[in-house]
Amino acid sequence: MEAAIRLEGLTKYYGRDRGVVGLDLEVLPGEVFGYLGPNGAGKTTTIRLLLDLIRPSSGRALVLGADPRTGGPELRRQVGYLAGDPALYRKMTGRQLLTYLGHLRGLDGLGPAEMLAERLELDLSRPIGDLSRGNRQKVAVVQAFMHSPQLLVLDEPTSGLDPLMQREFYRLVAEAKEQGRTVFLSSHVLSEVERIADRVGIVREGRLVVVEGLEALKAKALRRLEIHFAGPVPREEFAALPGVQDVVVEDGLLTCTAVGSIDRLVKAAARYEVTNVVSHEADLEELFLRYYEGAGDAA
Amino acid sequence: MLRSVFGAAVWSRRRSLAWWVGGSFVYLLFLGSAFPTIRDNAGDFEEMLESYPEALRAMFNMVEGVSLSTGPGFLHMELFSLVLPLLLIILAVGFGARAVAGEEEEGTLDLLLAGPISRRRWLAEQFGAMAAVTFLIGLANFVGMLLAGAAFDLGLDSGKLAAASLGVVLIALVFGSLALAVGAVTGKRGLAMGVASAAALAAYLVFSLAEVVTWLGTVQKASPWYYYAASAPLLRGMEWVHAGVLAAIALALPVAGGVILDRRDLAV
Ligand SMILES: Nc1ncnc2c1ncn2[C@@H]1O[C@H](COP(=O)(O)OP(=O)(O)OP(=O)(O)O)[C@@H](O)[C@H]1O
Ligand SMILES: [Mg+2]
Repeated sequence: MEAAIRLEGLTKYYGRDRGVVGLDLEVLPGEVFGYLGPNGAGKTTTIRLLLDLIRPSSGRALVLGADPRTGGPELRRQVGYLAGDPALYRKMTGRQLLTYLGHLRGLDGLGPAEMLAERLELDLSRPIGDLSRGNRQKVAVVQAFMHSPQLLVLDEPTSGLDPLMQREFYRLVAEAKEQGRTVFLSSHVLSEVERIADRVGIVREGRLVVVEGLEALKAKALRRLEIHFAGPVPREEFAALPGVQDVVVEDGLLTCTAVGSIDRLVKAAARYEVTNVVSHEADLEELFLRYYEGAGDAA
Repeated sequence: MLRSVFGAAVWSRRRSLAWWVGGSFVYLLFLGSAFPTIRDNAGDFEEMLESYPEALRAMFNMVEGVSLSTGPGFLHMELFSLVLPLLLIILAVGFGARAVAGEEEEGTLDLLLAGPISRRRWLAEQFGAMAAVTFLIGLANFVGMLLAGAAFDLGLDSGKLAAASLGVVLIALVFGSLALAVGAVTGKRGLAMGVASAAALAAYLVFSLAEVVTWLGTVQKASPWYYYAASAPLLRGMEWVHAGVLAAIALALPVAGGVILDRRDLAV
């Protein structure tokens, strides 16, 4: 199947400033792809390249099989876009803006926007300039979804939304996925991506550090373990085990960080009298930081 | 109205459009009401003008045989020499600078061009809206002058008045298009306004001063103002070639700007 998004060595420099460098990525149709990275990593740059708002310095992007530059309006009709810092016409009401955008996209005016606004509890009759930050964000969300695009490209979509509205937004994403649409969303809120993404790419200083399925990512997860023993245990024996780090032994209490499988660790511990084992669940946040640090060491 | 870029561009200026039209009417009636007084004292005025240095008289766009005691002569000097084109230039330049650069700085261009609108189409529809709005205000002025002319006995020829009014619209569009093009190339609204305003001022000065400053004489025809003012359509009727030159400049500038806009990055 043709990739919904394909990046081939995609590179963007702003003059001499780094935007993104050598991105290679394939996002499959029907997939929800989480694009993670800290501030200034290059998420917005990548997304604006996909929409042909800026042009690559080298490499290329293919969106729904077409070059954004040559695909033009016909291509963008099939894409829904939510900007990282959406600017809307402040003097228009929500209804006016959505009617306008609807017409441009070939809808007969509001189309499904009315229903979407209702789900997000958005008042369409007020001028956008009078709306709160979160409510303006809802207008931006509605306009991205209103024409049922094949591909949704969303730059930090939940910023400004309260938890209840975030949940409604996750439902919108889940529904889009059920209908076979592709969703590419950026975030630095890791729990968000954990919740809805099938795969995750982590970008750092303009480079893709890792692309993994969420399950695989969790399998590689760091786990913090506490093992309580009846008596003292030799630290070296545990510290020597592969995939076991940060081993500290105090009296009968061993704490450590384990990567991936904890089989060897458990078997090693079993040679002594174990009174209790406490495991802290894998956290994407920690994982993220680890990749982050790892790439930093390499650089 | 909110069905196209053209429609939205006009729609978003509906209030200022109404103010321009209303203001024009009030101003023109006021000016017209002054005509009988001026006509009766035209002799004194003209004596005064005669005593002005030549350079200053050039600024009033005095052409051979024009007299303040006739309605057309009065409007020619009072309105068409500077005030009316200046007002419409201000309107068109403001429109042109906002159309691309202003919306880019606001960030709304990002939203619109991420949708199914090409950059050239955006530019074309914005130009169309600018032309339509400028034309509407030119038309309102034309009607206002006809009414004032009838009320205060200015003895205007509606054909020549239409030709002169069209000339004002065209010269305004030249500089509006310049602002549009500079904005399309740079994305900077302030710069677009500045360049277009400076160009308008330069065009006016070059044309006017060339009448008296000999070394400027050769470049007079390079000034767009020449094609607006030299033929004095209010007195002599339509000059199609000059109008055509203005229209061609007004059309060519956005086309040139579009070539760059198509290639460059959009600012956030
Ligand atoms: N117009 C620009 N001119 C110069 N540098 C830019 C421009 N836009 C972005 N950059 C730089 O490119 C890099 C990537 O920025 P980008 O906005 O893509 O990051 P981001 O991942 O979206 O960050 P955030 O989470 O803060 O939104 C940054 O170092 C930024 O300074
Ligand atoms: Mg960003």
